[in-house]
Amino acid sequence: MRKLGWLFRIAFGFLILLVILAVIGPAISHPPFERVGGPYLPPSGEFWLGTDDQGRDVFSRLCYGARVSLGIGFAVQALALVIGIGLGVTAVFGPKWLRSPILRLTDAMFAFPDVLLAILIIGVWSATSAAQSLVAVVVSLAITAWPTVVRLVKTQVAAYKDREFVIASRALGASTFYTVTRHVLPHLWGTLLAISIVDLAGIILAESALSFLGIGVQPPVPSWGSMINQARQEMAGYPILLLWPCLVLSLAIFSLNFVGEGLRSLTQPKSRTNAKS
Amino acid sequence: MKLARPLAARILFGLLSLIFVSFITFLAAELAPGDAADVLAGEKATVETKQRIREEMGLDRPWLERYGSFLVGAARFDFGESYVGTREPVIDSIKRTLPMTLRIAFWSILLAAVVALTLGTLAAIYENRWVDQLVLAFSTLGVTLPNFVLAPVLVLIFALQLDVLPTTWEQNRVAPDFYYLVLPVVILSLRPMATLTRLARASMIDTLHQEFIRLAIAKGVPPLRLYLKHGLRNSMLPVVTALGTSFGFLLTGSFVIETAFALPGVGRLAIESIQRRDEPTIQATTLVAGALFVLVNLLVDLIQPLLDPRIRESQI
Repeated sequence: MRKLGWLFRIAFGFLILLVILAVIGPAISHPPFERVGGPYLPPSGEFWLGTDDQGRDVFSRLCYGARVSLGIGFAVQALALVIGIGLGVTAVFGPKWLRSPILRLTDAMFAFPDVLLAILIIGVWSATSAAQSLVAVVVSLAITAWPTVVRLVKTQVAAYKDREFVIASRALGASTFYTVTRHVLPHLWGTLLAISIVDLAGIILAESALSFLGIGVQPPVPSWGSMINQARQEMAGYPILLLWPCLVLSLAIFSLNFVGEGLRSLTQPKSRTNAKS
Repeated sequence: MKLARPLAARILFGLLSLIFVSFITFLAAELAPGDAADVLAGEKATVETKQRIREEMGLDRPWLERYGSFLVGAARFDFGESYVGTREPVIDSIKRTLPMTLRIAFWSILLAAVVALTLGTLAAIYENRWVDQLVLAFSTLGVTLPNFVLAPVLVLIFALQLDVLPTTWEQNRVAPDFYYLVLPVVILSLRPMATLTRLARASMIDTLHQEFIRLAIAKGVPPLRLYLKHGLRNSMLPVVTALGTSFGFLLTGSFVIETAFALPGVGRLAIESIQRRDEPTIQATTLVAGALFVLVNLLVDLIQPLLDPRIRESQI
């Protein structure tokens, strides 16, 4: 930690704070879905960040938005990791006839802009309720998120395939599954953690963009993206409502990027950023 | 001709990835709960009504068969009719909206490339000095700040507070189009601009450390000529290559920007059709956007050999 400097610590601290607020925030202030005061109240002791057009507590809604964004982020990244590690390992250790198709499939996914694909999938999903729209967002983002993981896992795992301890393990009669899970994958956790944090920034950004467009998380569930879109309609009169979600989202994205890149510089010192652009 | 075969291979690969994407979405539509009949019939419709609609629209056919006929239609630019409103053929609404998207995409990518090459070159020349730091800080900001944050904030500043630019596109425009397009184009270009700037800087630094530059300096080549002819010419290639992928960002970005500024483009059409559950239009708009992406990447592949003779020799 010491090597990473004070900016890293601030960013890390902000993320911790965000997680804490996401968990307990709505509980320590007003309920996020209900009218609790007059509309457009300025920040005060009672309403820390004021209230929105329907008299709902902005602070509480931001915290709930953090819960939604982080929850979706974790769910999507978990799915992407499961699919990505599975396919990535199969592409190296799996049956020969499967290896090339997996890699071609991954290439094909890279050949298409991913948020566009997510929009397309959400578009044909025809979600009819808020809960369904959550599922649609998670699934569509997971479908677009796994190829990066496959590429990373594949190159890393391939590098270990011919190392002595792997060959030794297999020579001793260990199954491929045992060898991979006990001797190969443990080397990857650090890198995968770092990558996941950077990816999380991308996923939260994509989710917010979808919600901003009105096709992501549906009301009444608050999301930073939809809060920005809402505030945009009334910014002539109440610009402060625009400030909070923009600020929190930007800080969250910045912190995730910063912490992820910092961790990555620790786990793979010489690698350059393998940006999926 | 040497070029013909690899070119054909690229086009084929581009087509394949489009088919692949359309297949995924068809599959997703199939697995998702509910279908177009639910949307068209409304919430209170009976099972019989829905069934009748399904039969009328051919939704009762097996989905692979429907996918086949969609592909055959798409190959002839026939995407069927819109589910809602006047049931306009989808291709007509795309013809109406595509020019706006192309217009802002063109100016954005041009702006991004020109600014990125300028800033990147400046940063490389003054490596590690304040100019460089400033350029790096700018590009970090450009990557971190999402366009749906920038759009409302800049509208607030320039349209509402300073009152120098209009807030959104309007049917009856009182000023030249330029005024309406400045903010959208600038915001749209920021993200690609930031990534391209970093790339241009890194590439230029690489170039400036090479021996032929030292030779040129020793020969007494004047600075401007040195940086432009010897430096920029050689450092441009990675930037041009990245233009293709940047265009992907730009397309997705144009969905957000067109919505934020009420611009009548393909992106806004797509979002509106999603909200109206107008499936044929959704399929068509996103496929058109995807085709644009594939096409631009193809163009980039074709431009590369013009810039670098070494590539001309080996492949396209």
